Amino acid sequence: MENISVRPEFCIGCRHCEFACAVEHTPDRDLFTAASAGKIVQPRMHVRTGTGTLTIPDLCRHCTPAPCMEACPTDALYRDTGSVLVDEDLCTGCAVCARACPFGNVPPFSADRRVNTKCDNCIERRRNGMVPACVEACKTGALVLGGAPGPHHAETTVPANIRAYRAVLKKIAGFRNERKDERYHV
Amino acid sequence: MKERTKDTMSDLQRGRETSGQRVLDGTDRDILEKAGDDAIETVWDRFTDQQPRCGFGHLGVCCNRCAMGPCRIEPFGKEPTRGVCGADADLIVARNLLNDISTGAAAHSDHGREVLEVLLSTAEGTSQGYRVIDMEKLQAVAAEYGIRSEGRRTAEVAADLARAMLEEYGTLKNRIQMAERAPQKTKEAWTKAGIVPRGVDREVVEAMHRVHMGVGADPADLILHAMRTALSDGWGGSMMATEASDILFGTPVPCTARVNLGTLKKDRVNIVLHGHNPVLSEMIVRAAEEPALLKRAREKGAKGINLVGMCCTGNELLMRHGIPIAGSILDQELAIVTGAVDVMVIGSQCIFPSITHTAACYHTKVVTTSEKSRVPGAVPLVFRPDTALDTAEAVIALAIENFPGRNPDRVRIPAKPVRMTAGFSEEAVREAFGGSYRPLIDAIVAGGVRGIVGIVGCNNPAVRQDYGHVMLAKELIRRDVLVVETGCAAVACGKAGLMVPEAADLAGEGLKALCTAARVPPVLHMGSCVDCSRVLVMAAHLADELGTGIGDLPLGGAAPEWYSQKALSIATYFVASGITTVLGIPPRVYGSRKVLDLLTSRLREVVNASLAVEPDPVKAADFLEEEIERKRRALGI
Repeated sequence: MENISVRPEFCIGCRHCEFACAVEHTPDRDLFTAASAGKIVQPRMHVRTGTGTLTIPDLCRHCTPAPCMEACPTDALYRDTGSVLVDEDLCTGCAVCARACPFGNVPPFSADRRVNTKCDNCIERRRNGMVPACVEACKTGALVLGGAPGPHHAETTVPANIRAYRAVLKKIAGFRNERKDERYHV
Repeated sequence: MKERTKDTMSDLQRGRETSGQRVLDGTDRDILEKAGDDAIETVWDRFTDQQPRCGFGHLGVCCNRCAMGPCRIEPFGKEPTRGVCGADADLIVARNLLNDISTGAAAHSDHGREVLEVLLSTAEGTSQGYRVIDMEKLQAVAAEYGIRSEGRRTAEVAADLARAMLEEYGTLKNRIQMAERAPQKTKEAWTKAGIVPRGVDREVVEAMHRVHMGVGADPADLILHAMRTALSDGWGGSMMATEASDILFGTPVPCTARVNLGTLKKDRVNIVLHGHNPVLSEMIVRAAEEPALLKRAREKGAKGINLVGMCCTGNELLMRHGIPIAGSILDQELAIVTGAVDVMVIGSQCIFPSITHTAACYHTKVVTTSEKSRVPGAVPLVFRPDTALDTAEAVIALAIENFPGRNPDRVRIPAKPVRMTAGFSEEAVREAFGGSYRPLIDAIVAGGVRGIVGIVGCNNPAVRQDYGHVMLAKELIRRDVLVVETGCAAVACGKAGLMVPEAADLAGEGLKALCTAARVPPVLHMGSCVDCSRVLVMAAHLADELGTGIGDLPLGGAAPEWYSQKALSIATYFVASGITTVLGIPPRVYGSRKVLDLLTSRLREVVNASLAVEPDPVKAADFLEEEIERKRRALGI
C-alpha cells in the first residue's frame, strides 16, 4: 500500500486535512450531522506550527518496524497491509505507544472508551479504491499518496508572492524574541 | 474567563512564550504575569490557540460570500484557479479587500453620525447636559457649509450645521463638503482617477453591492472604489466625527497627563472608560464631580473617584481633559486583571466579546452603553442624548456600590504611571509653532526636519505589544522626521515616554531644535483613530501653504501593529490622499500578485503614493525615509 507523503512547502495551514479526518471517522461521515450531534470527534492527524507561523501536517508514518507496536504491552497494535492499526478490545489506554513514537506523535484516545484511536491510514476507504480523507482534502498538494518529488522538481517551485507572505510572517514572529531594547523608558 | 486547564498540548506551547515576549511595556508585563498566576485567559492565549492559521483566509483567496461556495483558490499555481462563479484569485482578493475597507469606513463614519445626532439634539434642546463649547469652530465649519452665523443664535447655527453634515451621509447631494478641504491638485488627481467621494453611506452601500457576485470582474476597479470609500471616511465620516466632537466638547489644546495601568488607584473607585465614542464619557467626566456622588464614594471607604480612559474613548478624554489613560486595545483584559476596576464602561468598537467573562473572574462590572453593542453579562445602561447625564450618574453610582466588593488580596497595580503630553489637535499643532506652519515648513525646506510621518493604528497580538510603534517612532525621530500619532499607536509611545518635551533628546539635531523651540515632544498625540482626519487637515494646510498637492509633500504613514479594518481604511485614505503608508501586518492580499502590484507600486501613477508591508521597524523607517527623500527631490528641496 502506498504511504502518504508530506510536502511541507505546500502546506498553508488550512486544516482541511484535520477536518476531513475527523469527519471520516464519525459514524455517518457527514460534517453537518456530526456538528449538530454535538459529539466530540478528534482528528487523527494535526497541522503543527513550525518556525514562525509556518505550518506542517503531522501524521502517523506507519513505520517499519514500528516502535509503538514493539512497545505495546498488550499487543493491541498490529500491522495490516502496511498500516499500523489498533485492536480496540486489547488496548488499555496506557499510552506507552505515545511515549515510544520517535516523532512525538500523540494519538487521540477516544473520549468514551479511552482507547488509542490512531491514524488507520483510511484503510477502509483504500480497500474501496479511494485515497485517504486527508489526501483528498488537501487542495495544495502538501499531502500526496506515494513518493514526493524532491525540492529540485519544477512542481515544487513556490510563487514569489507566497514566499514574500511567508517572509513577512517569519519576521513578525521573530520580533517576539527581540530582547535588546527592554529598557526603553526615557 | 474559563479557568484554564494546565495539561493540554497548547498549554505546553504557551509555556514557552514569556510575557516579555508578548508585551514591551514593563507595567503590562507585570500584569500579564498576574494573569498567568490567576489563570486568566488573555488575547495572547487565544492567539496561540488559533495557530495554525488557514492560509487560504490569510492570503485572501478564500471566498465565503455566496451559497455556491465557500470557495478557495490554490495559491501555488495549481487547480482550482477559479471559484464556482468563475472569480479568480485576483478578483476574490480584491473583493475581500474592498469588503474590509468598507467595514472600517462604516465603523468610523457611523461613529461620526452618533456625534452629529447628539449635536442636533443639543441644538434642538432635547439633550441633557450637552452644550456647544467651541463657538469659534462651530462658526468656522458652518461657514464652510455656507451657513450664516452672524446675528443668529448658537442653537440655530448648530442645528443647521448638524443637518448639513448628516446630509453628507446621503446620496442626493452627490458630493462631500468636507472633501473640499483637500488641496486643488489632490482633488484633481481624485477626479482623474474617478474616486471623488460622493456620499458617506453611498460609498459603503455601493461597496457592498460591488462585492456581490457578478458586479464587475476587474480587480483594479474594485480597488479604486475601495479608495473612494476610504476617502468618504477620512474626508467625510471621520472628519465630521472630529469636528462635531470638537464643537460639542472643545478643540483639544496641549495638556499633561499620565499613562499606563499604574493610573488605576488602590484607594479610589476606578472606572475605566473604554470604546470609541466620547458622547457618554463626557457626561461621566462631568458627573464624577458631583459632590453627592463623591460623598457616597467616601461613605463606602473610597478616597474619591478615579476615571481612566482606554482605547480611543480614552484618547478623546485624554486630549480634551487630561484624563489619565490606562492603555490600548490589548490592555482591556489586563486592566481587569489588576483586580482594581470597579466598573468598565464599554461603548462600541474594539471591545473583546469575551470581556464580561474576564470581568466575571473579579468583582468588576461591565456596563454597556451603546444600543449597537449589547454584550451578554454586561449591565445595560444605554445612552440616549436626552438622559445622558442621568445615565452617567447611574454608572458612577454602580461603581461606588461595587467598590466594597473588591478583594484587596487580588489587587495588584503597577507602580508608576508615565507622564505624557497630549492634546495636539491640528489647531494646537499650528499654535505650538507660533500660529502658522511657517516655522515647520521652513525647517522642512531647510532640511533640518526631513518630513512628517503619521504612525497610527492598533495593537495586534501577532506583534509583541507596542514594539512596532515605539521602535518605528524612535527610529524616525532619530532621522529628523517629525512623528504625529493617533489611536493605540499614540498610547504605545506615551507609555514608552516619547511624548514628553524631554524626548526631543532622542531626536536628530534638526528635529530637536524645532521641538525645543516650540517646546513640544518629537512625537505628537493628535487624538483618537477618527482623528486621523486631523492629520489630513494638517497635510492639506501644508500643501496649501506650498501650493502643491498632498502627494507632493515629504509625508508618510504607518500602521505597524494594525488589526482592525478601520486601520485599513485609514491606510487607504492616506494613500488615496497622497501619503505612502507602511503596514506592519500583511493585509489579506498576498494571494494575488496583481493586487499586490497594484497596491505597492501601480497606485503611485494615480495618487503618487502606495502601500507597503514591512514589519521590521528599521526597514520600515528606511522605506519611509526613501519615500520622503524622493518627494523632497521632486520638490527641489
